[in-house]
Amino acid sequence: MTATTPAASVRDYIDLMKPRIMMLVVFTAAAGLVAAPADLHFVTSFSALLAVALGSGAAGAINMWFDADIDAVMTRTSTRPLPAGRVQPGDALSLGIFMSIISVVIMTIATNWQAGALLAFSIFFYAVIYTMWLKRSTPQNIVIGGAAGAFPPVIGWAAVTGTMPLEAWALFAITFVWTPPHFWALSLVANKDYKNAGVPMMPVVKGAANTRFQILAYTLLLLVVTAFPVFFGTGGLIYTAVAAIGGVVFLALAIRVFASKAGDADMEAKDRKTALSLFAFSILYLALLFGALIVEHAFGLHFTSPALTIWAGA
Amino acid sequence: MPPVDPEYSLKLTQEQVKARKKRNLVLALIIVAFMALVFTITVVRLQEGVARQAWTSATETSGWETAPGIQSGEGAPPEPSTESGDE
Repeated sequence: MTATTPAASVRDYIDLMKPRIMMLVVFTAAAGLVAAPADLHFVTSFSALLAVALGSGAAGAINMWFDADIDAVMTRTSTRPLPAGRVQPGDALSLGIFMSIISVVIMTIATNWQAGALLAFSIFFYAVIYTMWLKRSTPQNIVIGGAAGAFPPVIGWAAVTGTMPLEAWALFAITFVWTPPHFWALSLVANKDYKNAGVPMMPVVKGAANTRFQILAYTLLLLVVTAFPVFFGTGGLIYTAVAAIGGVVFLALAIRVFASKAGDADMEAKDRKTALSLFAFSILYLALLFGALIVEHAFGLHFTSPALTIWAGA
Repeated sequence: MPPVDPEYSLKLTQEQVKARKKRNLVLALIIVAFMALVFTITVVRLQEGVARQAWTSATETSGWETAPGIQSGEGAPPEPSTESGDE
């Protein structure tokens, strides 16, 4: 470290934890927590969500530590604390490992070992299976790796009941199927960056046209998957309306991306904008879906129609 | 004087010392918050356990009847009833 190295601020350590991903993860975990058929004490609910936040941050920090070489090459990520030299790599790794342990301990003492174990597994899945293995080796990296980001509602559910029933996995399926169209919309735009960094993202390996087709295919699958909570009775009328209207908009945007030249070598500014608008809407859609579940279950607005519920628990 | 390891003889700038002080302060706050959190979780979970134990021993010794299929100590404790169970 030389005297010209800027001093690490608290903000840099927060950035290591990927705060925006953390917010979405806590939000979906909260949905699982309130949708589960029992009530938790305020203190234990808060602790469970805090543990999920810390676990997400821990996984983010380990990811930043391992990916510093890639991040340095890519325009979008070159200003992150590690590639910019504001935080030492060893500090990021110790922060990640230490916070992983703390988060699992908090989850386990506040709720139960089932939730603690699933939290530990999802940190491992993101930091090791996705970051260290899949990301650099297969174009299916974010498809499989998306599971890491999809676990939180199941963790939230398990925190309440100590079990992981089919209803909870229906919430898992939403984020899991949502991740490919969400992420590939962004990687179409950052196509060149990923190529330069040698990351085998789908547009790099299979080409932009193939990726645009897969975005459309996963979007259709997403429309099916978002209906599961309705059949299981987890999602009420508000959720159903949000899923249906948002799903149509999502599909319209995906069709626009499919018809565009986003990710091609001769991509124009409007193609770029088309892909970015799908990326932006995908975030809003996921937040609205899980927000609807929270509104229904935490604020007593869960109206449902027997005609919609075809399966009500084993 | 023994030779000083260069790693430990860095001259920090005023700005770096200030940034380090701030980081340490935030760490101290986090540690205090963590202690408070573990304490609060412990109190809440102990209360749950104590309530559960009281309920278990009550159902075992008082002769209260639980609903069929429910073991002693399972299920929520009954609401305080206006009718006395001794009658």
